[in-house]
Amino acid sequence: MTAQFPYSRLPGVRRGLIRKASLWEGTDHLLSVKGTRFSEQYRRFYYRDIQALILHRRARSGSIGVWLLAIALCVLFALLGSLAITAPRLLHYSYWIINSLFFLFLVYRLIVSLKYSCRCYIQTAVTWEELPSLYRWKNAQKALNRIRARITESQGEFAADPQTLAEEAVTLASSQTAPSARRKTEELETIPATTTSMNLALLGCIALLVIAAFLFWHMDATAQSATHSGVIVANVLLTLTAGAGFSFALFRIYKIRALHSLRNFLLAALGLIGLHVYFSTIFSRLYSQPDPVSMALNSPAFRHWFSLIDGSFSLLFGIFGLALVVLNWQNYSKGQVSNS
Amino acid sequence: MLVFCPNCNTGLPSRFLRTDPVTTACPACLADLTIQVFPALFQTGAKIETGTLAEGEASCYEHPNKRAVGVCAHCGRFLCGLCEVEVGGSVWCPECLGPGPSRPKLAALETSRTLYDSIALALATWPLIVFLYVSVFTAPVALYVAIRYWKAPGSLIPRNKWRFVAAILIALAQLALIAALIVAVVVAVKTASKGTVSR
Repeated sequence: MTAQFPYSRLPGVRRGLIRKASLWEGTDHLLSVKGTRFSEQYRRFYYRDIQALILHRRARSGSIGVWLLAIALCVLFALLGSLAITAPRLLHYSYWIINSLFFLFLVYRLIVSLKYSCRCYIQTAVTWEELPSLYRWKNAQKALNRIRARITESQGEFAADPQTLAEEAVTLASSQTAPSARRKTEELETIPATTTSMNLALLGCIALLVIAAFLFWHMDATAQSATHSGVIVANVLLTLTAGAGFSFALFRIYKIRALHSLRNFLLAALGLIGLHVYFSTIFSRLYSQPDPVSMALNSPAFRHWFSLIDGSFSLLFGIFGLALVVLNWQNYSKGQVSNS
Repeated sequence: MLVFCPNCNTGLPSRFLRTDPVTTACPACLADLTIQVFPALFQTGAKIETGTLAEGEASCYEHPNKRAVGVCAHCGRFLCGLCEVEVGGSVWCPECLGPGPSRPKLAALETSRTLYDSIALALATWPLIVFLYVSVFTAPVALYVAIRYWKAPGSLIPRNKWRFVAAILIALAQLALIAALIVAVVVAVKTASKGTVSR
């Protein structure tokens, strides 16, 4: 803690490919930092104002980007391992060792996500907020122990037993609802029905699966059949369907915080579609610039490998998206949180 | 009800209000909850001392009948207990803290900041990954952003300037490469035209 930066970091940091969150301990307040790669938003909770700390133990996936990256690397090294049979034994084994490490990481992350994760909430007289950086049980416990000490130092001890005080307070204001409760109820009421968004996301996922099948065929297709106008039109239509489905679903649910895992998936899927469009344009007859980069990209070897990787990613995204939407259909249609 | 279940929004009975963190299940949805409450939960609005003015005492700028208890750190006005607002360890009047150009740039009041160093680094590096040709435009922009916002306030939390330095170096390298390519093309064109003339 220095004069320039009067904060010290509390345990628990959330780092995604796009979003991040952290929690910092100041002299008289707690600073919750949420942000993207290019900006940060700050929320300050003064120790004297904090009324309650609530930990809800539940399954949390964490950053979807990390999952996708680990799965992609796991698949990539498995492919390399299975294809490098004729390669030197050391290289062949090293691919499988790296693949096993990523697999173990995935298993570890799955166990932690299912058993040792939580949501942490902080309540003051005027607000009721989640602390997004505290999503793993151990880190949350460590951070809350430090916060508790600060709050007790600032607010002192209870004048009487809190249960007695609560009963008195409830009797006094039996007709009133706590502001925090009002806020949450209003928030829930404003969440629109999201069934259409789910349908659009499902449509995009199905189109992505068809694109994957199309790419696996395209991998070893001859140059003549690969650039046939019917093939190009089918690719464009499928890509447009997937892109439009994801974009409209994202547009409808973007502001609903409860659906952030679906939102992250849709953003990642749109990124994949963008890359697919870029390379498909170069591979197609529409792009006929004779520059060295496009000539290199248009070689059969690059086309084969790119189609394999693009197809694998499309297959993974399609299956993952379908599972995400179908497994959480009930919660998503109600606009409730589900990250498991 | 003073505390609510975050899973089902049901008001929790008073037996859940504990001073020590103990895990219990929500009576409605059986969610695992660990709740700890603090004295602020039972505090009603604190009464502000606004003493009446005695002879010879300074009065509040907004309330002439009230005794001044503080001075605004920005405009120097006398303030009563009702008007003084404590921000970042100093006292301010509501007018100075209100919206408008006169509002002081206090770190304690800021709710968001733009990370120009990350923007500059992204502009310098992202085109290298996929769209290489775009760096003709992005490298000068990255350089401009890095130099223009070098002294701009960064994050509220500890963060050094390595991103700016990296962005400047990468952008300069890209610009040098582009300049070398242009020179090479010009030289090649001149050599070709000389060859045609001599023939």
